[in-house]
Amino acid sequence: MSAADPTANLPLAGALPEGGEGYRSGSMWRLILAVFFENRLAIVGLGIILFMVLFSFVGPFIYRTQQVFNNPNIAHLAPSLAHPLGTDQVGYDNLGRLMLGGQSSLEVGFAAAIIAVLVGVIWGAVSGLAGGIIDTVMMRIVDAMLAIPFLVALILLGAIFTTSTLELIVVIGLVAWLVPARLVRGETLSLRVREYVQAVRVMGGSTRRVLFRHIIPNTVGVIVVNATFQVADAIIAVATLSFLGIGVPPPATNWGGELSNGLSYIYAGYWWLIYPAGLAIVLTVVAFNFVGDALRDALEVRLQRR
Amino acid sequence: MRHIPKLSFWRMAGVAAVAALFVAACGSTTTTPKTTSGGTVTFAEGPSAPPSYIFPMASGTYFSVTNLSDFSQIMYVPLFWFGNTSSQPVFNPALSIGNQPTFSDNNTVVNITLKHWQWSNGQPITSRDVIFWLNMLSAATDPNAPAVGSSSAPGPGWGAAVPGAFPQNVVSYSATGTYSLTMKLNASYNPTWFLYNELSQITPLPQASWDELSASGPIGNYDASAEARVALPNTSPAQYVPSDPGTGTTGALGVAQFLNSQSQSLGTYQGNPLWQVVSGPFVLKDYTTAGYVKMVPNKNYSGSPKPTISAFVEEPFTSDTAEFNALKAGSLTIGYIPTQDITQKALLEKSGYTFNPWYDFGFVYFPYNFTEPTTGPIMQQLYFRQAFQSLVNQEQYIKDFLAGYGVPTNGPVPTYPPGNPDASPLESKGLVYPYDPTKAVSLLKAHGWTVNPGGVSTCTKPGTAADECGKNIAAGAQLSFRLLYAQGSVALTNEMTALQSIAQQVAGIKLTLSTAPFQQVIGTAFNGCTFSTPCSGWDMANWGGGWVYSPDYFPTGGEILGTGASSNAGDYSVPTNDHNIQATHTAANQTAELKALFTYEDYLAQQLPVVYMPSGPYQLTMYKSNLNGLTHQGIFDEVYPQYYSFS
Amino acid sequence: MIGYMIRRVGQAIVVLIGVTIITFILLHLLPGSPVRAILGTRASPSTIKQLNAELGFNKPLYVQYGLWVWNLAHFNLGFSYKLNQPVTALIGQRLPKTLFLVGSSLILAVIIAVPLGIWSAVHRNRADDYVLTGLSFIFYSMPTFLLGILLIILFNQTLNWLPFEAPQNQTYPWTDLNGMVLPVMTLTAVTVALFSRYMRSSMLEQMIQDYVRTARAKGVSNQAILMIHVLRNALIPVITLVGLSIGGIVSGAVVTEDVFNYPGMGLLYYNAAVSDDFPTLLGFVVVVALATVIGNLVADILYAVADPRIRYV
Repeated sequence: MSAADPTANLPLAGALPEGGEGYRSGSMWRLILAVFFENRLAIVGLGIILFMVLFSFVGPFIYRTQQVFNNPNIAHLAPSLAHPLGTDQVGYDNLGRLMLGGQSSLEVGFAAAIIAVLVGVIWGAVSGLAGGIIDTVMMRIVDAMLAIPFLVALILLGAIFTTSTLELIVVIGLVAWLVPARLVRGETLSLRVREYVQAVRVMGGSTRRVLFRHIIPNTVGVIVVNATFQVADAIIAVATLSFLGIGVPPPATNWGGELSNGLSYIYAGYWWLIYPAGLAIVLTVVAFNFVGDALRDALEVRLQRR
Repeated sequence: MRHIPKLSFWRMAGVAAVAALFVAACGSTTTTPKTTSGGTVTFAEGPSAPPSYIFPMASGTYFSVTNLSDFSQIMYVPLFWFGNTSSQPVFNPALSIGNQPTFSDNNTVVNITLKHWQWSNGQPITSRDVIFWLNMLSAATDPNAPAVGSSSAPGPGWGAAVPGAFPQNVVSYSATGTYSLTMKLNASYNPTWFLYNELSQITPLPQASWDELSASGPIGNYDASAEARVALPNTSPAQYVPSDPGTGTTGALGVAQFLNSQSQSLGTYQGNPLWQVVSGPFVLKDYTTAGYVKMVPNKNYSGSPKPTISAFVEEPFTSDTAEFNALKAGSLTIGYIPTQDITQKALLEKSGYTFNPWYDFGFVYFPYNFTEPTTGPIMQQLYFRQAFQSLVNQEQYIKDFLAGYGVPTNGPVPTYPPGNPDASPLESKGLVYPYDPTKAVSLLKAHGWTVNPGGVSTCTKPGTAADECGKNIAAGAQLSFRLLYAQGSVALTNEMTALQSIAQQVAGIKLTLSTAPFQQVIGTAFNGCTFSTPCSGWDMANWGGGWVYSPDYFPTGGEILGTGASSNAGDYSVPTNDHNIQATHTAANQTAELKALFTYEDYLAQQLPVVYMPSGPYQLTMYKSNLNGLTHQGIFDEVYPQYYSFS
Repeated sequence: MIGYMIRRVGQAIVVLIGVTIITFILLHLLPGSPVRAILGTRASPSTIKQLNAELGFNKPLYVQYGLWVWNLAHFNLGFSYKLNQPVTALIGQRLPKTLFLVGSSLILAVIIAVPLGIWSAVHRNRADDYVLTGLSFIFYSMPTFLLGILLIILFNQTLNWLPFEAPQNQTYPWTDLNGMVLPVMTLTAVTVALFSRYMRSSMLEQMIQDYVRTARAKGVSNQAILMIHVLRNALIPVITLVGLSIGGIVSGAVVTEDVFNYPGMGLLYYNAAVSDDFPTLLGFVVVVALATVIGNLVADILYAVADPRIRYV
C-alpha cells in the first residue's frame, strides 16, 4: 500500500509496547544491536541506504555534470559514453540528474520523518500525560485527521499549496505526524502510571521534567522504528504526488519527478528515463523497510527481556 | 474559450501557405471519391471534458468549446455562423440562418433578414425566435436583474457578455416582418466588428416550444417582459437594459431560468421534448451523464449540405491516455494523439488513420502583473519586456517540446491560418523579437543594470533617463520574479524549465518557478488586479494557453488588453492601446477598419504587453482514412458533421 | 461492552464532525478566487460578484459551514459546476465502480495473504520464507502507479493478453471483466504485500505464547495447535487490520483508477482536485472519512468481541 497506508506504521498489535522502565543498561542496547545485526536483510538495507547516500551526495563530486542550466539541443539522447544513462527531455545528463534527485528525495524523506516524529512525539506525550478533556480533544483531532486517507489528504494539500521541495516536506510532515502521535500517547499512558514516574511526581518533579526526562526517552524505540518507515513512506508519497502532477517545479527535481516524467514518454521508448529512477525508489524504500522491520524485531527482544 | 492547447504544426507561415494552396488545388482537380451514405462517426471528446450543458445560452460556468462548439451548436445554429470548411476565420453566410446584415443611418441601425428555415418540428424560424433570444439575453445579463441562482445551481447568464457591450449597446430591437428585424444602436459602430463580435452571439431559439416557465406550464409570451428598454444612469454612450427583466419565476428571466434548470438536469437530456426541437443538422438521440452523446440527422434541416451519416457519436474519456488507447484499438473515427505519444503517429497511419493537426484562431501568451508593487515597475519598462521576450526561444520550443507542431506567436492577432486578412504585414513577416540572448543582455546593460550571468542582475543606475533603470526602480533592485504555471502539461513544464534556465544563465533574470492546478493559476491571475487594488502574490502566471477569438471573431483584443477589460489579467493599461482598440470598434468602412486593426496589432507586437509563447494546435487529429469531409477543421474549434461521409 | 460500543460510536460521530471542519477550512485556504476558477478567464467583475453571492462565498466562513452541514444533513452534498451535476448523483454513479474494485481486491488479498502469511511463519527463516518475505517487501515498497504501469507493459505491451485500461463506458464494471484484471491485480498485489507481512508476524507472535507450549506439553499435534489455536488468535489482529486499512486501500484506489483510467470515485476526486471543484472534493472526503471511521469502528468492536480480555481506556 506504500505511502498510502497510515496503518502501515503501526507496530503489530501483539508488539504494542507495554512501556519501558528507563533502562540504560549497556547490555540491553548491545543485545538489541546484536539482534538487529543478526538480520541479514537489515544489513543489506543499511548497505543500500549507505550506497544511495554516497551516490547522491558524494557522487556529484566525482561525476560532474551541468545540472543548473539545461540544453534542450541534446534532449532525449540514448545512453552513451558521454552520458551513461542518456539525457532527459530538456537535455540534462540523466545520471547526474539521478544523483541530484536522490539528494532531494532523501532530504524530503528524512526531513518529513523528523517533522512528523517531532510533532507526533510532543503531541502524543502531552496528550497522554495531560489526560482528561485535553487528551480527549487532542486525540479526537488526530482521529479526525486520520480519517482522511494519507494520499487523499496529500492531494488536497498539494492542490492548495504551490509545491516546492520545502512545501513538500511540510505537507508530508503535516499528514504523517498523526501515527507517531498515537503511538507515543499509548506509550505515555502506560508509562505515567509506572512507579518511578509517580515517584518523580511525588518528589515534586515538574511536568516538563517528567515529559522530557522520563516519558520521551522511553519512547525512543517506538519512535526510531516509526521514523524509519516514515522515510520510506515519504519517498513513495513524493513519487506518487509527482505522478499525479503535483511535483516540484524545475530546476528542483527528485526521483519521483524523474520517474513520472519518464513515464509520460512511455511510448517513445526512452527506457533510461524510467527504469533507473524506478529502481532507485524501490531499492531505497525496500532498504528502509528492511531496517525498520529489523529494528522492530530487535525492540521486541527488549520488551521480552523485560 | 479553451486555454490548454494541445499542440502544433506549422514551422513557418510560408510553408503553410504553400500547403494550403496545394490542398486547394487538389480539391478542384481531383475527382470526388465515391461515398456511401450512412455509418456512424465516433468523435473523441477532450480528456475529462464531456459536454454537460445543452441550452445554447451558457453562463460563464458552462461556456466552453465542449459545450458550445462541439455540442449545442450542432443542434442550435447561430444566427450568423463563423468559420468554414476551409478553416478561414470568416463569416459564413451559407451556413447561417440570417443573411448578411446591413447597416444604415451612419452605422447606427442594423437590419437583419432571415432565410426561410424550419425548426425540426416543421415550424418556421422567424424573427420572433431571434427576439426570444435577445429578450432572454438582455434579462440574464442585466446588472439590475434579481439574483436567480443558488448555491446548488448557478442561474442563467451568458459567458461572452461584456458589460456595456452587446446587448447593452442596443437601444431597441423589433421585428419588421416574419423574417426581418431591426436594431437601433447607441452609437456608430464598425459593421465588421459589430457583426463579428456582437451579432455573432445570437442564436435563434424555438420560442413557440420553449417560452414557458415550467415543464408543465403553457407556452406564452413571458419573455416579452424584457422588450421595453431603459438607459442605465451615468453611462456614455447610454447603455440599455430591460425595464422589466422578470424574476426567477416570471418574465424573460423566468423563462431563461427554466431552460437553464432543464439544462442542469443531465439525466433528463435524453428524451426531454424541449431539446428535440432543433435548427441544426443533428438532433440529440442518446445522452448519458458520463458524457456519451449520440446525435442523429435532423430530417427537417433547412441548410445545406444535409447530413449523410446516420449518427454522430461523441465518446467521453477520462484522460488522453484512455483516448489514445481507444484510437489504437481503432474504435474512433476522429480522435487525437497526445503530444507525448507523437512517436506512434506512423503506426496509426499504417493502421488506417490520417493525421491532420487541428488549429484554432487564438494566440498563446502569459501575462505580466504590472500591478505588483515591487516588480511591477520593472515589468512596465519596455526594454525589460523586449529583453525578456528575446529569451523566449519559440522556434526551439516548437521543435523540441511541441513535437515540431506549432506556430510562433508574433502578436495578439494569430498568423494562422496563413493569408488570414487580420494579420498585419508586420506580424506575418515573422517574430518581431526573435530569440536573441545577446540582445537581451545588451538591452539590460544599456538601461542601468549590472548583468550577472548565472546570478541575479541588479540595478546600479537608478533614475528615469534613457540609460537608467526607470521610474520607481531603486538602486539594488533585482531581476527576480515569481512565475506560476499550470501543472500537468509536459510541454509547458519543459518550456518553463528551458526559459528559467536560459534567463538566469545568460541575463541574470532569476525566475522562481512554482506550479498549481490550471484552475488555480486562472484564479490567481484573473483576480481583479488593478492599479487601485494591486495584487502582490504573483509576477507572471502561465496557465499554458491564451485566448481563442470566439465568439469575438474580430480579433481586436478589447476583452483582454484594454484598460479595465474583464480578462486583462495584469492590468495592461496604456492610452495609445485603448485608443487603438476603440478605433477598431468604430471604423466606418472596411479600409479604415483594416488600418485600425493593423495599427492596433503592430503596436502590441512591438510593445509586448504579455509574453508571447508558441501556439500548439487545438489537437493533433487522427481520423479514419475512409472518412471524407475532414480535410479542414473548424478554426473556431467548431465541428461540421453534416459534411462527413464514408467512402 | 454495550457501554463501550455506545462510547465508541459517539467518538466516531465527533471524529466525523472534526473531518468536515478540517476539510472545510482547508478548502477555503485555496489561493486565488474560487469563483474565477469556476467562471474561467472571460468572466466580468459583475458576474463574479453575482456568483460569489449565489454561492454564498461572501458570507462569513462559519455561516458557509453551517449551510453546508445543513445541506449535508439533507443528503445534499452540493453541486459540481464543472460537471453540471449534483455531487450526490456523481458519487452515486462512481461509488459502485470503486466498491467493486476495492471490494474484489480486498477479498482476493485476504484469500491470498492469509495462507501466504501462515506458510511464511511456519517456514520461518527458510528459503521459501525469504522469497515470500522479499517479494512482499518489494511489492510493498513499490509505488502503486509504478506497479500498475509495469503490469501494463508486461501484460499489454509485451504479451498483449489484457487491455491496458479499465472499462470506460459500462454502467457496471463487471460486464467487462477482462478490463478489470489489471486494476484489480495491482490493488490486490500491494494489499497482499501488506496483509501477508502482518499475518506472518501475527502467527509468529502467537507461536511463542505459553498456551502453545502448554498444548504441546499435553501432546496435541503440531498441526492441530497451528490450525486451531494459533490461527484463530493470529487472525484477530488481521481482521482488525482489514478494517483499519480501508483508508489506505482508498488511497491505493485513487492511484489505480488514475493509472487505468477507471471512472470511479478516485478519478473523480483527482479531477476535482486539479479543477478546484470544491463541492466534489468535500463530498468525496466526507464519504471516504465515513468509510474509514466505520471501518475503524467495526474493527474495534470486532476486536472487542473476539478478544474479551481487552480492556478499554
